[in-house]
Amino acid sequence: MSSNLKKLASRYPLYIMAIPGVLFFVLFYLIPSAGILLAWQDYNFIKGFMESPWVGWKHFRKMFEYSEFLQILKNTLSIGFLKLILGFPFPVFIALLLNEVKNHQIKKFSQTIMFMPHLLSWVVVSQIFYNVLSPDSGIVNNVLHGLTGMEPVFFMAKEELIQPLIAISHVWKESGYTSVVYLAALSSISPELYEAADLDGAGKMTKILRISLPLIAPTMVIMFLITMGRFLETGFDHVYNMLNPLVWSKGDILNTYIYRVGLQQGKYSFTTAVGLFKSLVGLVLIVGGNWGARKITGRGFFK
Amino acid sequence: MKMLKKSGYFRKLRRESLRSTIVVYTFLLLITLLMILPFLHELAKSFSYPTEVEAGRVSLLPKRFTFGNYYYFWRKQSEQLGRAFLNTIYITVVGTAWTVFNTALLAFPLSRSKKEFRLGVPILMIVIFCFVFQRPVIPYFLTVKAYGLMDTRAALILSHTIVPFYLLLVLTFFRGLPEDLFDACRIDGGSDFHLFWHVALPLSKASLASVAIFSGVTMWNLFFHPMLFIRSSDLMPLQPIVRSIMRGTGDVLKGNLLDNDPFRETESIKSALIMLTIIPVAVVYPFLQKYFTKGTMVGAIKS
Repeated sequence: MSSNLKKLASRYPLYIMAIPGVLFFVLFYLIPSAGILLAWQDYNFIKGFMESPWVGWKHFRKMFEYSEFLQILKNTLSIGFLKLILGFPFPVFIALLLNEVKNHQIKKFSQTIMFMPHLLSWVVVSQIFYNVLSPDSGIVNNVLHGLTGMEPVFFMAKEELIQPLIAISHVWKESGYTSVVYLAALSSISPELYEAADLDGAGKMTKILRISLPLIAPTMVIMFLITMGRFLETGFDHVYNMLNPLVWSKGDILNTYIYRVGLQQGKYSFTTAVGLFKSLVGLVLIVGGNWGARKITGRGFFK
Repeated sequence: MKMLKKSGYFRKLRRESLRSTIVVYTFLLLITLLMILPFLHELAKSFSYPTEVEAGRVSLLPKRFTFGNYYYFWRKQSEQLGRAFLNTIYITVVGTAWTVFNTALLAFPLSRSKKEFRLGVPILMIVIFCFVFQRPVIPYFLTVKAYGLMDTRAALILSHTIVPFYLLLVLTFFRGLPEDLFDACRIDGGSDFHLFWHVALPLSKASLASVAIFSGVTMWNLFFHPMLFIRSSDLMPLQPIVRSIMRGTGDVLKGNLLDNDPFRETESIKSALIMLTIIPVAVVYPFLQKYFTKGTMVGAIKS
C-alpha cells in the first residue's frame, strides 16, 4: 500500500498539471451546465439563484403556447433543413474535384482560396453578402441589370429569400473547409484500386461512383451525424448578422431568440428552458441519426 | 496488347480522360471564382469614388481610383477603430498563448498511461461531455457575471482557455510520441515537468501551431462573447465595432448629418472597412495554411 502511495506521489507533477484545465472545465462548463436548473425556477435577478421560487414545468408549457415561439422553431428547423440539403453534398463535390486535379500548384491555389471564407467572421461575411447583393451597388444586381435590364432587387430584405440566403452563406463560408475532411479520406484510398479499375477500362465517372464515393461513405455518415446533431444550432453570429428588421420574422432562430428575449429582456428562466429544449432535440437527433445510420450502413458514431 | 491498340481502346481512353479533365477544371474554376469574386468586388469598391459605387458602376475594377475610403477611417474613426484593433490584437495574442499553453498542459497528463495518471478517464468523460453539449447561454452568462468578470477582457480570454476539440487534437499527438524519448529523459532524472517542457512540447510544435491558428482565428473573430460580456466601448473588440459601423449606429448618430463629406457612411467605406478587417487574416493565413490543413485532417481522422 505504502509503495503504491509512493508511486502515486512520485507522479504528483502530472496531477498538478491537470489542475488548471480541470478547474476551467468545472468553472466554465460544468457549473454553467448545472445552471439549467434555472429553467424550473422563476429566476429573479435581485433574489439570486438560491432564493428564487421553483415553478416546475411552467416555462416549458408556456413555450408551446407562444405563437411567436412556434414560428421561431419553424424558422430554426427550415434553416437547418436548407443548410443540410445545400451544405452537405457541396463539400463532397469540391473534394472529388480537387482529388482529380493532378497539377499540384493549381490544387493548392484553389484550396487556399476556398479556405479563405472560413477564416472570416460572420460580421464580415454577412456584410459581404449585403454588399454583393446590394440593390444600388452590388455586383449581382449590376450584372442582372446589364444582362436582362431587370430592376434592382433588394435580396436581403425579401422575407422569402432570407432563409435560403442564410443557408447559401453557410455553404459559401464553410464548404472549402469541410471539404478538407473528405480530401483526407480520399487521399487514404489505395491507388491500386484505381489502377485495377483502369485495367478494366473504367472511366473517371465510374471510378468516382464505384470507388471514391463508397470508400468515403463512412466519413460522410459521420459528417451527416455531426450535422444532424447541430441541426438546431445555426450560429448566433451567423443569423444575427444576416438579419435586418425587414426579415426578422422569417429569420429569427432559437439562438437569436434566446439572446434577444433572454438577455435583453431579462427573461432568464424562460429562455433557459428554450435552450434546454434545443439541446434535448439535438441529442434526440444525433442518437436517432446514429441509430438510423447504423441500420443503413452498419456504421455509427459510437461504433 | 496489340489488339487493344488496334481497336482504338487507348485513344478512346485518352479522349475520355481529356474530356473529364476539362469538366473537372471548368467546375473548379467556377467554384474558385464564386469564392474569390466577392472579395475582388469589395476590393474594387473600396478603391472607387463613393458616387461611382452608389451609381452601381463598379463591379470588379475600381472607378475613379481613390484612397479616400481608407483615409476616411483615419480621419474620422481612427480613435474608435484603432482602439478596437488594439483590443482585438490583445485578446488574440494573449488568448492564443494562454489557450495553447493550457491545452498542452492538460493534454499531457491525459496522454500518459492509466498507471501513471489515474484520473485520465473521468477527466476525458468531462471533456467529451463539454464537446457534445454547448454551454447553456443564460446560466453561462450569469456564472461568468458571478465570477466578477463582466466587462473585462479576461472574460473573453478565460472563457476560451481550452476548447475540447483542440484538447483532443493535442492529446492524439502526444499519444503518438515515442515512449523511448520519455524513458531516456526519466533515466537522466527528469521529472514529469521536464518531460512535458523539454520533450513533449518541442516535439509537438506542428500540432501546437494548428491549435494556435484555430484559436487565433477564433479570437480575432470573436463576436458573441463580447456581446455577452463587454459593456464599455473602450474594451470592445473589432467585430462588434465593425458591425455597429456597418449598421450605421457608429459615427452617424454622433456625427454631423449636414457634414458635406462625400465619404461619409457610404457603400464604399463599408467595403474599405471589410478589407481593413480581412487584411491581417489574409496576410498571415497563406504562410500558416499548412498547419491549418494538417490540424483539420488530424481532427477528421480522429473523429
